[in-house]
Amino acid sequence: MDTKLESQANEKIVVQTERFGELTANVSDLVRFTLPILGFEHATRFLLIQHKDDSPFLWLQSVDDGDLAFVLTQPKLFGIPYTLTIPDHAIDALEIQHPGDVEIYTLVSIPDDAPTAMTANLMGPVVIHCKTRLAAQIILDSTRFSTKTPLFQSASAEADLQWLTQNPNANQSEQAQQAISQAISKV
Amino acid sequence: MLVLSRKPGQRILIGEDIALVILDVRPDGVKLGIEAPRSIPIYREELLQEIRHLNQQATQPMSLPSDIEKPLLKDPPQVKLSLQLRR
Repeated sequence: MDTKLESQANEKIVVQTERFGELTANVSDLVRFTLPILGFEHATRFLLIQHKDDSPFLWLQSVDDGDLAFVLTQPKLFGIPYTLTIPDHAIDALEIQHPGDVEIYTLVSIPDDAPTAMTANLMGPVVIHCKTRLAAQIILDSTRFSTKTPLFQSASAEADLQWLTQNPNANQSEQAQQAISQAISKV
Repeated sequence: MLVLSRKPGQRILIGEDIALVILDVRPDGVKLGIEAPRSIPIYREELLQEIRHLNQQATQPMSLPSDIEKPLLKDPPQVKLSLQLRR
């Protein structure tokens, strides 16, 4: 049985993605949504890819749909206090034993015409179990949270921003693969 | 669809674990109380629709701030994330 588990852990998966090109990852590194991202019930398996070193952003790249990717961040990295209660059904679904088992991320919406107006959805965070790599989008129906919390409070932040061009170059795929292991060690 | 008439204070039982209570009836709406096991998620439908819509908007952004972290995260604020597990 041990041998079987080991072979599963070493099993590789190759994904063609729109953004990163071809990615190869360990099956054991996949994040599996047991409570799906609403509207994307067909996509349950994802890879976490750190955008850049020290970046507050992670890519959530679907391996079931190579064209599907989200951007995640943690509100605390932007100075936004975020304390929440994980609902019981999600605690069960993710097999959470201790609060420290999980990391909380939020999905980021970035308007094409005004990227500094990007917002995070604090009512529908993504919870990822660090060890089992089970994940869930949970719904927090509370007036304490907003679905569109601006990540940048001050206009001065705009001056600091530089934007990636749309087309990933050939190196990015390689960088992305290196980033996978970094992201995984952080999650 | 099953349709029932109820008065304030009256209840509807669904299965063995769930009870709906009519708390108040006003011209502009009805206030409901719901008693259910905590393991059963209960949502306002329009919130799920909003989140589904926002998830759609959050897909495959074509641009992403690249160097955002340098000005902003020199001194990351120490905001502690605390989770409460309710059991």
